[in-house]
Amino acid sequence: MVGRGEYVVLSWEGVFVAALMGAAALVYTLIERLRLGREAGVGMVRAFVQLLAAGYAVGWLMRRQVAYANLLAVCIMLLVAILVVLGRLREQRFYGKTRAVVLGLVLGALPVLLVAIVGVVRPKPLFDARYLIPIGSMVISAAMNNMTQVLNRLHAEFVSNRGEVEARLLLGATAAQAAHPHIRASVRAGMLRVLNVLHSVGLVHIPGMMTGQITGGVRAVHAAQYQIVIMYLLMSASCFAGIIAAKSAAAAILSNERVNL
Amino acid sequence: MKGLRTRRRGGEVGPLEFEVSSGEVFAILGPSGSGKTTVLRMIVRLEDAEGEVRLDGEDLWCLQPHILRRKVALVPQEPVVFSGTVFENISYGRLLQGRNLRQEEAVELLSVCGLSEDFLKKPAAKLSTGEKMRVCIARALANNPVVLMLDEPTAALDPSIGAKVLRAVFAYMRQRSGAVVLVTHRVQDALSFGERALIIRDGRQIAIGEIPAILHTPEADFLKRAHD
Repeated sequence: MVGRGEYVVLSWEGVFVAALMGAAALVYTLIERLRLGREAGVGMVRAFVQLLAAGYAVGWLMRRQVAYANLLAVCIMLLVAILVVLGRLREQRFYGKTRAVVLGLVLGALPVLLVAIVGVVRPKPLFDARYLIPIGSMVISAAMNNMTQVLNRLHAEFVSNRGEVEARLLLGATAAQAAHPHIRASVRAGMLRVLNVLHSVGLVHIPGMMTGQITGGVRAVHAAQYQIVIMYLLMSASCFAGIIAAKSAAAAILSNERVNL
Repeated sequence: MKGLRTRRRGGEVGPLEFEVSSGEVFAILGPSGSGKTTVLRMIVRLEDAEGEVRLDGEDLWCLQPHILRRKVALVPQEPVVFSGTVFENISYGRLLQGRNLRQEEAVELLSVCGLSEDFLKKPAAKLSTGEKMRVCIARALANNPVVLMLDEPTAALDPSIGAKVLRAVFAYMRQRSGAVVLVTHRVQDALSFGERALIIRDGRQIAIGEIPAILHTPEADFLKRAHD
């Protein structure tokens, strides 16, 4: 029996068994000719390499406990997130895209992360890698995913409703007034997914952090407390990043109060 | 308008030069694809352009575009209505300026455009194309523009009452000492409604003058051929 504060260390055989299940799913997609084989295979390999590398990196940072190194790691995560969003939005060509993505992530995710570390968790040392890196990764990735969805939708809104946007501008609307209905639709679309998770969390879905803490031997109530905090932080990071990015992108697309697409 | 021309490469329009007097209906005439719509879009700064656009001596391009567009209204060829009722559509421009449109004003504007008071509460999206166009014209008039520019309005209006509606709209503008710029590819529309016309072809100014005299000049021959 495993006591509180202890956890079962997984063997490489265990990892292999889980990989076999993934491989079985991959073979099933091939049998059904779903053309997912390549993506699924690459995804499995990437997940293995990336997570293992992250594990070693976080372990190294935890052993060193150098605040600057930990903060640098957060900056690298942020930079990678920016590149990932720009990559996902490759086909959405519009002026000011990079600025919107950078502003959304920096102004949307970083303040939330700062509040989480300085105001909520308050670890000692303050920038302890054990808290900064996992919480940072969750906050940044939440902002990244929501922002991608919001900007994707916003671009589609402007393309498909160009006539409506121009009609508003022609009636004397400023760029902000003409963009507002489309910013609202885009941010709502992004946030509904996040809010749906808030509605169902704990009922069906026990999120990764809470699961990890429980399996790691933390008291379930304490794990729940952490998860509540994380859910609120993720919601706020998603919301701030989405709104900031959408407003920045809309301002660029409608610069000079005309549709620049 | 002086030295009005596009800044883009390819499909260039201009340089153009013309004047419109208050109370006048000025037609811009040319075949499809000649750049007529671009001229209107340049004036209200939906297209990047250079030149000079003045209203009673005031340089309109020094104004912020949304202020300019409250003075110079453009109704595009494709009528676009917003979700909500016809009244909400008509009062949109006023609300942007923090002012309300009274119901009596909305009824008057609708009647100018040949629609009855019953339309006020109808959902705009459910109207026919012709009715939408009339709502768009009423919506533009609600801003009390000094210049009203209509892009091929007869294309969307029902032929049976289109002429009557346009005459009522032009009379409404004339009463307020406003000017109308009417873009059309149909010589008949220019003859029916216009007082003077600018003829353009491939983005270039071909001729300018009184209607119908200008239509009998050699420069306008191509229009007659297209018309026949």
